[in-house]
Amino acid sequence: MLHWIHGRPARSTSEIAVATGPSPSDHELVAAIGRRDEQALRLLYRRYGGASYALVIRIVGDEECAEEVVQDVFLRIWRHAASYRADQSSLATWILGIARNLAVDELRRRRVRPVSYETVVPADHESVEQSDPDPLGDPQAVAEFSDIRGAIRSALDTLPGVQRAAIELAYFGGLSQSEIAQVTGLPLGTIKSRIRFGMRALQVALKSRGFGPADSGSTDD
Amino acid sequence: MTDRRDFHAEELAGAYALGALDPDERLLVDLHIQNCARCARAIEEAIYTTALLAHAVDAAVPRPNLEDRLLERLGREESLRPDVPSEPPKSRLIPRRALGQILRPRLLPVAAAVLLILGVGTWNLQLRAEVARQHRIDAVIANAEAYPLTVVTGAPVVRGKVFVDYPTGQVLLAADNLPSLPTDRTYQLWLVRPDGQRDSGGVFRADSQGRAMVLITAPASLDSYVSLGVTNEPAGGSAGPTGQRVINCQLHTE
Repeated sequence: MLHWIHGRPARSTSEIAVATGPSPSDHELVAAIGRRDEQALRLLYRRYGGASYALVIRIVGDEECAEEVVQDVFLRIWRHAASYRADQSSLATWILGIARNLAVDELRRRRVRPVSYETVVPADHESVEQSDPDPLGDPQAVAEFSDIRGAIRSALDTLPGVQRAAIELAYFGGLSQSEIAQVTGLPLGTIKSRIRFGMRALQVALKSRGFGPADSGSTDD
Repeated sequence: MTDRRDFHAEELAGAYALGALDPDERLLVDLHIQNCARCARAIEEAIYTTALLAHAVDAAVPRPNLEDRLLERLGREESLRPDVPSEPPKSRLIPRRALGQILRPRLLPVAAAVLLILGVGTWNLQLRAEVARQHRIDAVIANAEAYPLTVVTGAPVVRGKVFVDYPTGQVLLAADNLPSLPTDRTYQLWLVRPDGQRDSGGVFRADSQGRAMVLITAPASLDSYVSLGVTNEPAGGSAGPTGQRVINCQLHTE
């Protein structure tokens, strides 16, 4: 939705804020970033910086490295805001996708820590959350992330532990199936089966919680 | 050798979305889903699921000054970026507007209708041909022996595999990272006999991403050949290899 100021579209987030209050939509922020509005980037960072950082540090495991990667994420958004397609994914998905890819690239490049089962898959999946989950973001974004986090985790909890571990080694560890087989000492076929059946089970569990891609209606060759 | 009898892109969807496939497998899936809506849909669903994993992590908080450091770095890097040219170069012989004025009044509706009819018919034929080709490729992958490409000294590293279906005599080359060629050059596939004689397997070009999927029927029994190669040749191909070799693959290895 465009906001109009004196007969023209709002040019900056500060103008949007005057027009609508302090919370411009994601779409408005991306559009403003496309117009080189640094304040919009700042607001976007406040909305998604915490979630990006949480994901990146889970992958790279090092605070300084994680902060560098998060900067890379938002600089990439600054330069490629025009490539975001709202009809293909939510802005959160797009940003976190960039964050995951850059973090895994960094992990593979630096190997800041030796890859092992324990470093990628925590011993206790029910690890304690910080009491102040995200003082950065606006409260609405924090609440939404918290709700989604709960749903995704409960879906993950339905998986057999070995399937979940294989998926997490791939996603958070940036490991291929062959590398997972090496790290765990298990046959490659076993890893392939765990990922295949684990991902299918996860899809089912997520769908039952209301998370599923829009149905295109065509499944034939 | 790798037994590929159970290849189905749909079954690899989860690993594909997680980025956990080896490059050869990923290449095969990429090429397969260009013509298989069912597997493309499975991949799309798996990518959606994988994206949600990003939300499963514990909350974590960066240092408060990260926001300011980000903006400072933005300012530094923006000041170093060269200015973008304001207008693209103009090189048309006939201005677009003038061409439009010439065509639009009489010819455009007729031309559009003709193009539509030809386009739909051509598209339909192309689609059928592509689907048929994809089925042949799937059959080869499912039944063939797979051989890795070996490094060619002095040439760019091309990734991929060669699938050889001995009973049917079909050979499938799946390659990635092929250098782009000028329009007057082409890639040519060769099947090599034990005495060094080469039989041409045809010419092909890679797509814009350097990928190629080439399916041929060998001119003689596949047991007659010991290796497969690809060279860079003049457009139209050569009677024998004359250009740089970019792909080599030893057959019948254990």
